[in-house]
Formats: sequence, structure tokens, C-alpha cells
Amino acid sequence: MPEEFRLAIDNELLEISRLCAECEEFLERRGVAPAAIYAANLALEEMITNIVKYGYDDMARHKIQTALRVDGGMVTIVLEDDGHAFDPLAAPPPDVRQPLENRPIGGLGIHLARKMAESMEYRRAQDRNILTINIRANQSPASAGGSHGNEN
Amino acid sequence: MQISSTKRDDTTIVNIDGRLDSGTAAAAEKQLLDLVAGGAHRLVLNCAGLEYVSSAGLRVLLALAKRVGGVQGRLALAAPAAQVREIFDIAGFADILPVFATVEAAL
Repeated sequence: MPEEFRLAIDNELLEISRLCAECEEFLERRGVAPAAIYAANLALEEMITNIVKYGYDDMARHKIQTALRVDGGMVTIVLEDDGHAFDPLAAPPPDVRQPLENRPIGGLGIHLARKMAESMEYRRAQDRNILTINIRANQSPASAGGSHGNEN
Repeated sequence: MQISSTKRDDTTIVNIDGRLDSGTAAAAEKQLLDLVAGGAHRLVLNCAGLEYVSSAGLRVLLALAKRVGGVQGRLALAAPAAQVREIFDIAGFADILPVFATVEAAL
């Protein structure tokens, strides 16, 4: 069985840096390429920021679960939260060709994280959002983003 | 994240080092906009020491670009590492801001 790293954080933005640092350490120890660590970091930051900011309809404390493993040349991240149903993969990509003046500030995070990952899969089960993110462990900047040009 | 700057002729070279993410974006934005407010209208952002940038970091750079545009200044990005360059490319930054391989080329 591949070693798995698991951490649950509160739904607070301040928790994200700590989570990213611990995930990075785990991936470095397992010899994952820097470009893949970057992609993992980005996926965690962007997707969890999104959950914390927009996922909840109350002010209560919630737990967001992260599980991370490296297996068969693939880094797999599974994020689970009990926020309202939200499929980040259904969000339309931002128009990055717009001139600067016309660009809304924001909206890029999910797009960046998807482009840097090999694949992502969302499902809703037992009132939880479950997002699985796959990133090639040996990816280099040139080869990063299996989903380049493929929004599905 | 650390920001330092040096002046060369009428251009301010700004070194931005470390991580530009949701945790550091607010502090970085304040420091960069303060530079513009202080009269630095021609800026080269030296990204050689920039280890990581996320969408929160890109928002800072967009805010800086808009502010510099508002004073008819110039902003160029220089020397990003391959992974940071890739983020700039995916975000379409190359269409809106000049990106150079070196600081010298950006001057």
C-alpha cells in the first residue's frame, strides 16, 4: 500500500498555508518532481480557497479533509468537504484573451489548477463534495497540464 | 515573500522573492502599490527569486499593472522560472504584459 498523507483543516484561509507546507514536505520526501509539487500546491490552494470562501451557507466551523498519495507515477489528491453541492469543473473558464482593462479581478484559480493537473474528477456523495485531482509525479513545466486544450 | 527595489536611470527594478500566494498577496500588493504611489512609474519586476505564484498572486500583478497603466507608466516582468512562466502563459499574461527572459532585456 502506498503511504498516504491525511490532514483535516478548519474552513479558514489561514489554514491553507500550513496544509500546503505539509503536503509539499510529504511529496519532496517521496521524490516527486518540482513541477508536480508546484501543481499540487496550486491545486490545494486554489480549490480549498474556493471551498472556504464559497462553500458554506452558515458561519459554523467545518472540516475539509485532504488525502494525498503517490502511486504508479501519479500524485493523487482527494479533497472532501461538507459544503453545499458545488462542481468546480462545471465552472466556465475565464476569458484570458480579454484586454487588461476588461478583466474581472479573480476567476483564474480553478482554471490554473486544472491546466496544471493531469485530470480532475468531481462527485457528490452523502452530502459531501469529493474532488479527486491527479498530477503526474514526474511532470516538467513543458509537459505539465494534461488538460491543455481540453476543458473536459 | 520579500520585496526589494533598486533604481537604474528612470526604471525601478523590483525583486520579488519567495511565495506570492493567498497568504502573502495583501502585503505584496500594498508594498508594490506604495512604490507606484511613491513615484516609481517605470517598473521591471524581477521574478528570478519568485518560487511560487497562484491566482492570488496574479491578482496582485494585475492590480499593479492597472495602477501603472493609470499613471501612463510601464511594467515589465523579467526572468520568471519555468513553472512561474507557465502560470503567466496559462493566465494569458503574455498578451497584456511584456515578459522577458532577463532583467537586462526588460530594461
